[in-house]
Amino acid sequence: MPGNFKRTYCLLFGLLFLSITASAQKSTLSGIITDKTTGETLIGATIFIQSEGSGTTTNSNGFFSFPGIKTVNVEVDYSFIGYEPKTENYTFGKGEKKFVEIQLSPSDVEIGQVDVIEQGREQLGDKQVEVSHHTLTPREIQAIPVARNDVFKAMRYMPGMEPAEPFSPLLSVRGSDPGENLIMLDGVTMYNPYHFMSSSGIFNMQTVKNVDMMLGGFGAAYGGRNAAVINISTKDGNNSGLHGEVHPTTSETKVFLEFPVGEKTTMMVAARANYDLIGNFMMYSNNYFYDINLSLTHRFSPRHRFTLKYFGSRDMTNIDFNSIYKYMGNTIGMQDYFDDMSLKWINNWDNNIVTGIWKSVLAHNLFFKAQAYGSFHNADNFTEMVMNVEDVVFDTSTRLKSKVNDWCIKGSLTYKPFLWNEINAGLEYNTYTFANGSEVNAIDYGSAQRSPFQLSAYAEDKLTLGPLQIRGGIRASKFENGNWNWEPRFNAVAQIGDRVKIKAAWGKYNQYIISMNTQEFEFNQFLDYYYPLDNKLPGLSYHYIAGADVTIDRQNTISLDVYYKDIARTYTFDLLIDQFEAFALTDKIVAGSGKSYGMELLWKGRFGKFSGWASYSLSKSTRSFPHIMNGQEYDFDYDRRHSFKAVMNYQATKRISYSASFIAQSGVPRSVENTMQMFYMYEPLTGEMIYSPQYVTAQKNGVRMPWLLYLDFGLQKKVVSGFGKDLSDFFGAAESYLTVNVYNALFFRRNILYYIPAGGLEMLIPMGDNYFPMVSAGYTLKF
Amino acid sequence: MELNRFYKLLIGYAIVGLLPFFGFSQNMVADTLIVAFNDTLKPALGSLSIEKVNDLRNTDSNFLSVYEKKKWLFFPVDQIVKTENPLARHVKQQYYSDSAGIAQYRVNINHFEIKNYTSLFGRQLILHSTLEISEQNEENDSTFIGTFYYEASETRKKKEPVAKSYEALLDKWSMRFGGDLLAVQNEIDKVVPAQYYHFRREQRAVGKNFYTSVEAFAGLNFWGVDGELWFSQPEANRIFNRSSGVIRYVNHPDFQAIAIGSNVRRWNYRLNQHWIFSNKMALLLGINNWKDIKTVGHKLEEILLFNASMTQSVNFNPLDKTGFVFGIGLMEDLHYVIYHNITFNLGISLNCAWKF
Repeated sequence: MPGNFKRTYCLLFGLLFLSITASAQKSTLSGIITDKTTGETLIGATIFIQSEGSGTTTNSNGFFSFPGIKTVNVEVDYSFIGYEPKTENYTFGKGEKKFVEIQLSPSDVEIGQVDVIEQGREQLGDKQVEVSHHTLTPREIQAIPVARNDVFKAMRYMPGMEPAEPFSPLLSVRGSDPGENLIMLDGVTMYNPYHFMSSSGIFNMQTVKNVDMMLGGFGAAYGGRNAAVINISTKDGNNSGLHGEVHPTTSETKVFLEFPVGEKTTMMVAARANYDLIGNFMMYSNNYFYDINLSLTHRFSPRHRFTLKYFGSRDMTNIDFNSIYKYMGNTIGMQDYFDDMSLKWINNWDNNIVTGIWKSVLAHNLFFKAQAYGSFHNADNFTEMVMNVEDVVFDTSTRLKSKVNDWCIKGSLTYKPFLWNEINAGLEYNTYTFANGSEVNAIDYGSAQRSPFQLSAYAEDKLTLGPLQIRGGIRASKFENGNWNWEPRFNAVAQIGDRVKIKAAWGKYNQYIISMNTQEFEFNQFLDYYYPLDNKLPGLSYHYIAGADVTIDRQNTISLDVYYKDIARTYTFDLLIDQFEAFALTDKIVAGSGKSYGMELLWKGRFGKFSGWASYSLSKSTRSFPHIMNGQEYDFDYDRRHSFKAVMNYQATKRISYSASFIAQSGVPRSVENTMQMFYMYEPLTGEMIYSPQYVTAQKNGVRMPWLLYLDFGLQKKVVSGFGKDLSDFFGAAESYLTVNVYNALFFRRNILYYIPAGGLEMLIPMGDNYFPMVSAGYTLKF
Repeated sequence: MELNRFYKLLIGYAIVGLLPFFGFSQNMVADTLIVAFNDTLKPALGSLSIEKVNDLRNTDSNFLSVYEKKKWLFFPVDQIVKTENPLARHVKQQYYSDSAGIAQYRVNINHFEIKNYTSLFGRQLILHSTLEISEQNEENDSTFIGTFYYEASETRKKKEPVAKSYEALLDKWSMRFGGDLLAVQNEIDKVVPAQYYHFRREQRAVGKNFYTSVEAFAGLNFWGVDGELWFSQPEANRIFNRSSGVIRYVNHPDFQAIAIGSNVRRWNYRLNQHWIFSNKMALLLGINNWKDIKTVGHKLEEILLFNASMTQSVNFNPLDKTGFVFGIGLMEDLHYVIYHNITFNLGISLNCAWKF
């Protein structure tokens, strides 16, 4: 391996030297392309020079460089689908280098219409060579009735991304554990970015600019996780005046504003408060959450800009189920039973991130980006259950605490010496604090704190050789006292004709921070508890991916991905020893292995008044751990064999759009208990032995639940009369919208997620997550 | 595996989804209804002519009305109602005369809209319009005279085409406007001002008002607070109806409740330039929070509250003015909770609002 690295470095330095000498003779056009109305940079916009007969595209920062221009007078076409094209003429002196700032105006798009190419605003990675890279725009998310407010629910409608557990926002990507996803907000790693059992995701949709998902085979610029990279980009502000939205409802109020501050600065401010008026009022609960987004972008010049962003959120859930039990017990005639039990949940967590991002065009072919951030997560979750069985009172409580502080500084350089060559290199340093602890019945089961650091560096080179694009890269990383780990990555794309692209990717991926999700044994505990592998070997996986993109016409694309993921080293917590001690960063983890493989077919496009996407996935994911069935391979918890998903929008008129979303997928693999064992323990207060029956099984995930079907409908309507119109006129709003969603249209067909044994194994009670259809309505004022 | 059921469902939904491809989609698209403005219905004005009409509305110059109708009982689509030509041209054609030596007028259309209301109890069209009138002399200079406010209604018959109802309402308005112009020319409004309540001589047009109101009420066994929002067109008649949306908190001895009502009716009678008598009728549905839940066994259905109330109040509310308004009144409250007797309460109410 070291010999390969030397050859790679020699090649990189050789290319650098060659470029400095060769490019001095010819002219270079470089610049930044932005949205004229918002000032946001456009990613993937095309720059084509007629006289050279060739073109290039903007990178993930909206920057482009076109070196090697031979002609003096050039006509340059700037275009981006969804925007009005623009043509500019330039005259170059010998070896002259010009820098331009181009603004493109967006074309008119009807409400609700999903435009397949509306993908470019702020993408992660390099979509030209990435495989398994999906993007969701706010407009696309709006088309999903059940996910209008939640990017994580929206992602469930993409192929290869599946919900982890009912009511949980966690996502499993291609059969991996949810903790193997790197989730970022504007490039900042976030920990547990979720609200508790809410219909709203943690990220206020009004602030979201783009959601990027790289499901595998991603480049060397990203690391630290085995499965996928998910980045949510937020808006920077609007330089064309005050714009915003107000969304008041009885359960939630959202305000979003973006505006210029002087000539060179833009700002975005958003806040949301959710107040569960009904639960708090009727059930003596105290549930709320809020989140705040702030963004300030200053453009020192077209070449240099600085962005400062803050995100803060806090969740408070205090549910005393006694009131609910009283109502339920009296209603179904079981008041005596319910009088003897009590359940209390007090969950409390917050997230705060602050980041500064500096972007500079240092030279006509050199782009620099630096970012520093702090990401802080703190959780304190308490559960208490009291039961009176045969005059013996069981009073059990658990308290799980978790804290993560992540400070990071990173920088990257993009150098484009030739039109056919682009080199990226970067450095990243993180210092962490993880503090976990647990209490059972108010007795401390241990707590611990670790403060490791991580240092990573990467370099990659993208070559365009006619219809072939190749990107090779390497990532080196070191976590606390461990050795340096080298992660080579490789991507290739071959353009066949105008419409077909063949893609392939291979990569090695290490993971240093694993997490434990606890919802399986504590229903209200869906948070991840993070665990740094500072005295273990890192998790390790290899991705093998091949795919094809076919452009059917201007508005329709089909993609096919086939993948194999060799999970050479993965960890699970040995909860059978003592589940609560595991929280306290004790070494009760077990290494194992696994594999995931499958194929994903995705159509995305528009025909007539219909637009949307549909996908089919076939996959299998297995794991093997020495302490589970003696190392025998079993279907992993997140294995979903068949999955069909569709999101469709019908633009009935310019003002009204209907949408529907549908999921049909194989059932969840479960361990259904078929044996009952009695566990005895001594009760010191009474001096008696008390017993507890436990249902057990010898087969892990041996049973697959029935198929799951979900169907939701939505309506989005521009308000043109009535109180809503009067209100928007009164406030001088540009327009106002009404949204109506109908969830669980297939409620009559139970989606079974668990079977709970009862009555001594004679009965298995099916439990689902779609018992009732639900209707929600919202009103939005848009400025 | 229940694949058969799954496929049946899939096929069923696919058929529904593909219906628009088989030609049904045209029915779902909102269309525009053109109604005839009867230009030949020329009121016998004789002594006056409208020379110029300015449409000051911030909308399509042909626009009359927009309302929502349901396709296939479920899918809402917008029905837009327009006149064949710009409204200003229709108004001018109707009242223009090329006779010499007659009084000439100019009209500003500040507001002109027909609302189409459909409820369980019937269908009704209501026309709201605001028109400023100026007199024009031979040098084409104009002198402002005053403002007309109209609020006219037309009941829609079930089988009658909706366009007919619109046309009938426009005819009714045209005849009345013509008569009003003659009366104003002859200054009859000064002689019998009660009959010309909808005309404000020498006063510029005002727009609709936005009320944000809080009303507190209390009786022997209950107290509560209402929060209300509503828009009110300028008063065209001494008696006028408005409706509001209300959210109510009410506290009774055994429970407290939050209730909402979306169509609270307000019947108003203007006593004089400053005072209005109002009767507010509210039907609300709410949820209860039982104070004795720890000790008394309540069933789930007992969380529902059915509430009806009426409030008669006298309110300080100056005509065509914005600002702080307030009132005092008497409230009758009737509420019902499943398994409990219907309860009647009497209380007094105090309300205040900001009238934008």
